[in-house]
Amino acid sequence: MLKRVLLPSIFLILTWGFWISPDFKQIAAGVAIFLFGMLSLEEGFRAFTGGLLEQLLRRTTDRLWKALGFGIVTTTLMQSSSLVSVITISFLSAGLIGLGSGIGIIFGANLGTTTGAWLIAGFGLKVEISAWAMPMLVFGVILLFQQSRSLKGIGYVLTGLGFLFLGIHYMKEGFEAFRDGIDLSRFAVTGYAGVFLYTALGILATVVMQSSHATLVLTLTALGAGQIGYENALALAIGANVGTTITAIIGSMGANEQGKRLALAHLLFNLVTGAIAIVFIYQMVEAVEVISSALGIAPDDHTLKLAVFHTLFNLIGVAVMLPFVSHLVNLLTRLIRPQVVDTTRPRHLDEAALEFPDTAVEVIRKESLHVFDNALPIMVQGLGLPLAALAPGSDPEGIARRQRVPVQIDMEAAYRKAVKPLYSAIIAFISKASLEPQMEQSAALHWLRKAVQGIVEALKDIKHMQKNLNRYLLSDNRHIRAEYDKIRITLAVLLQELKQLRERDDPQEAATVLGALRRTIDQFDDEINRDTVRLIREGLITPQMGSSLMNDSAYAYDTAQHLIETGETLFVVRSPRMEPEQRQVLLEPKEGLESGGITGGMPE
Amino acid sequence: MKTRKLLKKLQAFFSLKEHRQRKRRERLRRLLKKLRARERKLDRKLEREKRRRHRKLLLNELEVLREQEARARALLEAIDSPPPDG
Repeated sequence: MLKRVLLPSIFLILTWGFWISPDFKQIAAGVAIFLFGMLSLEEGFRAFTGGLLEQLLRRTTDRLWKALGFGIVTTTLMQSSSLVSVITISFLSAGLIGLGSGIGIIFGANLGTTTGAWLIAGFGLKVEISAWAMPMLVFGVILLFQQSRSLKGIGYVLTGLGFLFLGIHYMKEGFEAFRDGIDLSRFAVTGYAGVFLYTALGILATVVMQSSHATLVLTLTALGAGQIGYENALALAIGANVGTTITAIIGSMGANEQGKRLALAHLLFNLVTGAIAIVFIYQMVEAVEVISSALGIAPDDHTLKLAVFHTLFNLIGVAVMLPFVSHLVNLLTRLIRPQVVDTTRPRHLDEAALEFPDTAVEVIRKESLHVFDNALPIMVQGLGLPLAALAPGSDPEGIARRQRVPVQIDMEAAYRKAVKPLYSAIIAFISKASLEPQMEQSAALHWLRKAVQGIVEALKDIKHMQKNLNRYLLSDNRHIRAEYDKIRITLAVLLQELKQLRERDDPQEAATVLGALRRTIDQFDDEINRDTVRLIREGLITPQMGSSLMNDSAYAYDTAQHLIETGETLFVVRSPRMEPEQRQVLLEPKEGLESGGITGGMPE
Repeated sequence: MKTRKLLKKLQAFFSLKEHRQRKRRERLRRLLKKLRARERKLDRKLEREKRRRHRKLLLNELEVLREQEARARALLEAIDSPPPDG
């Protein structure tokens, strides 16, 4: 309802503003061009996030101070805290970084974003930057038409910067022209009333424009043109800082609980920082004067002083909040609890991860593990065994011999309920990840899709065995009964081992056990084929029984092969904990493993 | 003579290629140590294991583990041995 009313109202107000004041039109156009420039800049940096940024993020966020530094450096370079926030949320959702590191990055991004004020105040308002904008736009647009992803990225960055500069120029011109007609400084309100009023205005402007950077630029240009007072400009900057968190909160509504926790941490940080800045505003103004004179800033250069103020209150915020990060993590974990988990819905496929190839691969691996978790109980029940057969230390051999009852589970229904929705979601997610074929992550997605397909194939193979299992497990012929027990026990041991490997999450152990399972399954196949021929020859089973046994042992062999290959992809090759030396040592240089995605290459 | 030795050591310490090789060697040694520890653990487990199918699996696991150890040793030797002339 609000959305339906809000947009037309904004359009009407703007149209009315354009009608009565051409200068207002110029300022609004400046803001629009500036925002478009920011979008273009984000798009440009996305072209370089094909692994490099993510690798850097993973390596540099294991300590709080490193996470803080990462937030400062990347936000300074990209001049967009929102892009850094999106990457952080997607990494957090994928479980690649912890909430503590995420909070560190957000704190750092708050500090990094203050460099924007310095750039605009020190450079943008003092130099004729529109002269720089034109060549940037021309070169940028030429590069946009290039085939290479990197050149296109550079093109987006150049056009982004060009539009940013052009936007600032229009805003500056607009305010200067405005000054000749209407003097906005008449509306200046002094004292705490002014602080509160302009803080609220700053919040409102940031929510409408969805960018604190734009509010800050608008404030700086208006201050530069003398259209607002210095004190009110400070309040606007505080408001912009608080307002920017609302964008993050709206963005986190679709995210999982970790994303929501991070957005709340962002809000708490900016609220505390804002409150400190408001309460001690006059003391801070004094401090700004001292710092400015020490830095050699002219007493009447209010725009640079605003940049000092912006940096100072964010620095104080970080200094106050940093010692409480672990408490904040505990508080947020208590406040936002995970929703009751519906195992039949995808858990990890966060759309935000699609933007970042390494993250996309990791969330698909996690979702594939989810499919594996759901499929395992169906398989063991499909063999006519209780779930207890999967427990570590249980004896599937004894359980199978004791429990010889017809298979109860409707495998088709169980598959449709617990596996197919996830499988379909993974396929849809992979199709949305627009990766170029030559990228390493593209090959990884191929093998992950094959791994999930392997689980589905294994389920189908077990389903094919059900009819004969029901017929021969209760047969009077003890020889055929024993052979079908062998099939059940071999597969049950395999499932039990796979479940333990899944839980331990140790690629080194997984590689050894999976290698051993492969050999065991080959030995089983030889053994059962020899037994079948001998039993038919000695007349202990009928040829019909023999042919059924041969078919079903082939299904069992295929099931095992599919599951071992799936395990190799999910637990070993695609495990983020796998080191290059481990690959060389742990994986057998043989055809099955090579094709299972060890080298990560695409199939021919 | 001593200074030259020290100089060589320093050069090796700051060389990127040497640094990578040193790291590789460290990782391989760590892996080999882990593999040996696991082998000892499996040996003990095999003595206790009564379930037939699990015993078979443990024997295969030991076999795979020994092959992995051999591969790790071969890789270590390849790093330690001086590069062929020419």
